[in-house]
Parts: sequence; structure tokens; C-alpha cells
Amino acid sequence: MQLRSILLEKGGFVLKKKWLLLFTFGLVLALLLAGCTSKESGGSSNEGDSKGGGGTAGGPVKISVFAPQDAEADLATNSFTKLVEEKFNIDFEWQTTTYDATSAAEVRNISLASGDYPDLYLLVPWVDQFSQTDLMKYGKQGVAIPLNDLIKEHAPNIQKVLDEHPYYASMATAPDGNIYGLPQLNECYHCTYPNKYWINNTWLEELGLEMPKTHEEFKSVLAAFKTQDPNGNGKEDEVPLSGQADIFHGSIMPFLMNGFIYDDAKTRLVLNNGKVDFVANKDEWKQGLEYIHGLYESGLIDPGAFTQNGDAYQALGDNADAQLLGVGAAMHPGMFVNTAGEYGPDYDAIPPLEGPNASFTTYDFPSYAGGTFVLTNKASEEAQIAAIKMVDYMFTEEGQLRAHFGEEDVSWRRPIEGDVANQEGAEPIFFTIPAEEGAEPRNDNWGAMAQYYQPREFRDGWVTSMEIYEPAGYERRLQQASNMYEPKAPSQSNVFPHWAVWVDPNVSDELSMMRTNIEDYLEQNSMQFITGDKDLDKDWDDYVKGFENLNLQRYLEIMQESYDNSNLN
Amino acid sequence: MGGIRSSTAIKESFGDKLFLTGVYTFLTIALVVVLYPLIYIVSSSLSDPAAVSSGKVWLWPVDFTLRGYEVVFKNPQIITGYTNSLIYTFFGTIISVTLTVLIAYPLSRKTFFGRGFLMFFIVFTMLFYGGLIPTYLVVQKLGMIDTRWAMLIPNAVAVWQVIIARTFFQASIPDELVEASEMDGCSDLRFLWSVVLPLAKPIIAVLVLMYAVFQWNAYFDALIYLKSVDLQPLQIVLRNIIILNTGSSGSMEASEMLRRQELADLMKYSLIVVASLPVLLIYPFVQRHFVKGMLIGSIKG
Repeated sequence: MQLRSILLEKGGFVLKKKWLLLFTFGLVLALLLAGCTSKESGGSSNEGDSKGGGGTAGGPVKISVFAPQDAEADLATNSFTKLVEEKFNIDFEWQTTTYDATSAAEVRNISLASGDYPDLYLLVPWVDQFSQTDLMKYGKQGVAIPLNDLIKEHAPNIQKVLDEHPYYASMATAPDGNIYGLPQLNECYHCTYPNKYWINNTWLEELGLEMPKTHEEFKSVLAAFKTQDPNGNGKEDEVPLSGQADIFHGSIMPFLMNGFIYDDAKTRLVLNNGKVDFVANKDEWKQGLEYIHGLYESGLIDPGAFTQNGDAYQALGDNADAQLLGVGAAMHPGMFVNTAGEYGPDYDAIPPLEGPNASFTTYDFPSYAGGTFVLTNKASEEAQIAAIKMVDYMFTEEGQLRAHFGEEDVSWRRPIEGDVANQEGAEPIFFTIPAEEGAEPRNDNWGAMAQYYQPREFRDGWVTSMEIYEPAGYERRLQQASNMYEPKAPSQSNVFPHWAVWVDPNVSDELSMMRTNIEDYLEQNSMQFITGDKDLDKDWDDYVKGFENLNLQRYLEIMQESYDNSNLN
Repeated sequence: MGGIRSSTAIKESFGDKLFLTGVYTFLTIALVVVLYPLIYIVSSSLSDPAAVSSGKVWLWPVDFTLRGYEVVFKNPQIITGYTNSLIYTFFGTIISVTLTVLIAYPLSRKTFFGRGFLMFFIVFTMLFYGGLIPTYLVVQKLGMIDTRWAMLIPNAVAVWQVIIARTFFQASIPDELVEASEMDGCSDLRFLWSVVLPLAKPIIAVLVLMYAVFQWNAYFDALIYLKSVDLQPLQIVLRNIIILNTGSSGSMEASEMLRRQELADLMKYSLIVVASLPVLLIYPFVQRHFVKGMLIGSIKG
């Protein structure tokens, strides 16, 4: 009864609410229906893009492109996009993803697995790109089309680069002779010698020390940093040597190990007269570990070097109250210190040390194996030709400058009187004009997505400031440091070129599993030997035997075979 | 009586005092633990990036500056993302709450035909999932790829919320109420609208908040279903700026890395503040119902 009266009282209101209810239902229904209708238009436009696009004579060729987009760029309105569209008669349809590596990889894989992929992939190697395994897999499926004929007919500049750069050619060419995707050629000079040590020069000066030349001298410098209070705050809070755990050139090991035996920091493989060999089970390796363990035991190595990520490393390097870091392992000091900040100018590279057995530096080919430019079988013939012509343009100096840096005299300019190339003595080629602080993004280039052709000569000709400790002279500082490292690199015939070697797809799963196991085992044990959890006298033999259990022999065999099959021979 | 009580109750025993002190200490610690990160982030967003990265900021802003916010609000992608996120959250919540109530209420009625069967199917999806690619294919065939619908429809109904709502309806709407209104000739829809919904405000508040927060934070769906820049929600833009590709930053150009680092340092904290603001603002208004709805939903279930 009570309920009835409540309902009656609210009767008028209820009536209005009923309409509201109906309206809500209607709304939901309409939404659902709208979802269905957009399916038809969506579906048909997809087909239009992929097949019928280039059909109309004279009209621009439609190309759908999957590409990562930076937070500051807009590819659709980008002035380089406009230029390319006009020059090669293209109408791009962008499908963008983020610069976040894991997400970008996921989206690319979903697009391929679901069959909902574009005409063209244009990727950034350090965000996400097709791996060699991917290229062979999709090449075999027919999704990624071979570019060989297209290059021969329409891309003279790419052909020239393939002919002149053997590492690049073998990086690009799959074992079946096809080029399923183009990698970027970027012979970044300082990245070629990535495992550098950067030492605090104000501390050296403060304590009246010389730049160390041998492993023994290096150890006494670290000890002085630790005990003689170079930051002058009266506390023994200095960290003599630190590094970063999650990238290969943040590791403290290779720089020191190179005084004992060559350490390539990645595979730990070398070539001896064309034969692939492993270094991490040799006696020299053991000596190296012994030396590093000695440093660790004397408290000269930051335990954080084996665990910390980039943020922690940076926080150590930039510590506000007092400078803490003596020596940092990194490709460049920006990895651990704000280069424009107070401590930025304090770090100089230590030239490779003269070790008991040897004096090497790690060599790494700075381009990344895989494919960033991949055409799919959805691209019409016109689209294929237009796309290869477009990337061919980026393989010219003029095209490279325009695509990677932006408009001439806005983002870069030709050298003027008094400009000095980054590599002293080289011909200056261009100067990049820094953006003013707070200015609108220029949005006039494709940045890293277009970095296809930067051989050594090109990068040497980059005009940079002579003030090497200023941000504008940073590249020169890295160049000068690398000049000290270059002579110590091992001969090309001793370096195992893992970047240029393709693995037979039949064994690639087997290999990648062995490789992961072996590398993990190596990293883990090196750390245990260094920190003293394992004893080099007692546990070394077991450690060497452990590699047998991980099938090192088979691993070397596959690597040997892959190397023999590569067209480097 | 009152006078007597006041004179005796004032004195608390030692044990009570100890207990109260304990409670207050614990609550203060809890408060600090929750509040500190919030203050830290707000302070960092108002400080000079160099001071933040060198660890000078620990509580209050150092070298006060609003540059972070200036840069954030100048960036067109952030504005677009913000608008999109608001759209997805608003419409997504309406759709989700409507659908959830419409499925949860019938499931709560004992007379509903095929109830157990339907419930089984719904719960089944909690344990088994078709996988990413098949789900993508379904969404693709429905034509929702790269449309706003991809953000609103595929995840419109969450099983967990259906269960909470169903349990609430079961516990708080007695059968007698249905019988009484049926006697008076009330239709099912009218009963739902005029009786159930007014009584179910707490649970609706819970649903609104949960769905709204879910939509606001939705990241993965946007990542895989949306391709056009002008449809991306804020979370995607956020990640694009803040993530410095820790794993692979080693292979980035030195100059590129320094530029990105500077940008990220500058915007990181102001962006976090801006992105969490809407949720922080809604929460106090819904929170009152939140506790009530959750409790009723769970205890009597």
C-alpha cells in the first residue's frame, strides 16, 4: 500500500522519466546502428586504398603508410610530406603509432597477424623495425615483397649504396638473395666505438692526477677518487665507477675486459682466420674477471652498476648536493649527466687502456640490422614505384638533408666561411640550426624515420661548434673522443659481424633460444664472479662446463654456417 | 543521565588512550604515504626541470616556473587528446552503465528464464578469452577500427561490474516489491525505472566511477584500434612524450636523445597533473556512494 502511494505521488514525474528512458534506449540503439553502418564505409575505403588507389590515370597514387609519430610532429601536415607528395605524385594515408617501443611493436605485429596491414611500413630502427627473422617470414608468406627489381629499375642511388657498402648490402639482402626491407645506413662515428669510459676531469685536476694509461694506473685513480675526497665535502661519498645495467654500452665490463681479450659487448664472439670462436670461456677472460673483481672488492665499483636503469644512473650523475661520480661507462656522457648542467663539462673520455694482454676497443657497426622500409603485397604497382622513388630520394645528400633535418636555411644551412666540420680536415657539408626555446615545432622533417643515408663522410661534414663542452659542440666532443678509440679497434677480419649475418629460418628459433640462454648465463656469472658470489679459483671450471650444457658447440656451428653463407665472403 | 555520563566518560582508560594514539599514528602515516607522492608531483611540475632531476625538489617547488604547463597547453596533440579522452569517458560511461544495468537487473530476478545459463556465459568470459588477434578481427569486421566506436563498444560491459550490480539488486530489491507493483499493473520497464533505479543510486555511482576511470585510463584499446592522430586519447599522447624508450635509448642519436630528454623532463610532471586532474575531481563527489555501494554489493552477496 505504501509503495502504491509513493508511486501515485510521483506519478507525474514518472511519466516524464518514461520518456527519458525511451530516449536513452533510442540513443543506445542509434549508437549501435551507427557502429554498424560505419563498418561498410570503413571496409570499402580500405579496399579502395589498397587496390584501386593508383588506378586513376594522372591522379596521385594513394599509399597507406604505417609509421610512428613523434609528439611534436604531425605527419599529415608536415612540410616534407607535402614536398614528397608533390614530387612523386603521392597521396599518403597515415596510420600512426607511438614512439614507445613495446607498444609500437605490438601494433605492427597485430596489423600483420590480422591481415589488416598497410601498403608501406616506414619505421624508426630504435623504436621498432622488422627483424631479419620477420623479413624472411613475411617474405616467404608473400606479405613483404622483394625490392630487388624495383631498386634496379627505379632507384639508382640505393643501388649505388648497396654496391659501395658491403656491410650494408649484406645487412639488407636475405640469404635467398632478395631484399625484403631496407635498413637505414647510419655510420654514426662515435656509436661505432660505443663502450667508452668518461672520467671526471675536475677531480683529476683537484687531486693532481694524470689520465690513467694502464689498468694499474686506472685502479689507483679510482682509489684516489674514493679516499681523497675530490668533491671536498668531507665525506667519503664518492662513487669511483658506475654504469647502467639495461643497455650494452652502460656495462662496465667491456672497456676493462678489452685489456685482456677482445669483448664485443654483445655476442662475445670473434673470428680467427674465418673461424667463429667464443671468448668468455678463455683464460684471458678469467684474468679480466679477476681484475674487475679486485676493483669491486676494494669498493671501487658501484654495486648499482649491475642493477640500475637510466633514471637512477642520471640521478647519480646529477646529484645536487655534491658531485658523486668519478668514472661513468656510457656511449656518451648524456646517458648519466645533464650535459647542459653544472657537471656536464666535467667528463672526458679515457683512451683505451694498455692492458696486460692487449689494448682493444669494442667495435660495433652503428646501423641496425632489419628493415625499416617494407612494402607489402597490398601496394599497387604504381604505389610500389612511387614509394621506392621516394626512399631513393632520401639516399641522396640533398634528399637526406631535407628529409632528416628539414627546410634549408630554416632547420639547416650550407657551410659559410669559418665553419669547421665535425671531423677536423673533412669537407663541411651542413650546419643544423637549433630551434629557439619555446618556438613552435617546425614540423618540416621526418627526423629519425628518414635517416637512410648518413655514411661516414656525411656525418664527418656536419658543422658543429668548436666549444666542445657546450651543447652545440657536443657532437665534436664525441667525435674527438672517438678519434682516440678508433686506432684500438680490432681488425675487421677478427670482428664477428653479427649485424650482417642472417640465420637460416629453419634454425632461427633454436638459435635465438640458445643465444638467450648463453648470454643470460654469461651475464649472470660475470656478475657473480665480479661481486665475489662465485670464486674464480673454485667455480671457474664449473662455469666453463656450464656452457657445454647450454650447447655452445651447436651455437658456434650455426653462427659459423651463417657467417659462411653471408655474402661477406 | 547525561550529566553522569559526561563526567564518567571523559576519562579514558590507559588502554583506550594507547589504542587511540596507535590509531592516529597509523592514520597519519597512511595519510603521509598517500599524500607525499601527490605533493611531490605537483611540486615537481612547478619546479625547474634541472632542480627536479638533480634531486633538489623533495617537498616544495624549487625555482618556481610554469613553463611545464605552458608547453603542455601549447601542444596541439595534448589538447586533441584531452578532448578525445573527455568524449570517450562521457559517452563510454553512459553506454556502459546503461548496458550493465540492463543485463544485471534481469539476472537478479529469480523468475528470469535462462538466468543460470546466461550467467554462466558471462562468467565464462572472465576465465577464457579469445586472444588479441581474434578480438581485433572481430572489431575489424564490425568496421570499428579507427573509429570512436572502437573505444566505446568492445569493452562496454565489464563482467565484474555486472556481478557487483546483480548482487546489489538481488540483495536490496525484495521480491515483494515486484509483486506489489505487478499487482498495480506496473510493467517491467517501469518497475526498473521507477523503483529499482531510485533505490540503486549507490551502485550506479559505483558503476559510473569505475567505468569512467577505466575509460579515462584506457590505453591499450586506443593503441591497437585507433590509427588516426585526431582520435587518440590523452593516455597515448602522454606515453608518447614521457616514455624515453629506456631499453633502446642507447641506439638513439645523442642529439636526438638529449632533445627528447629535455622535452620529457619539462613536461613529465605537469602532464601527469593535468592527466589525473579529472579523476581527482570526480572522486570526492562519488566517493560517498562508493563505499556504501561496494559494501552492500559485497557483504550480502
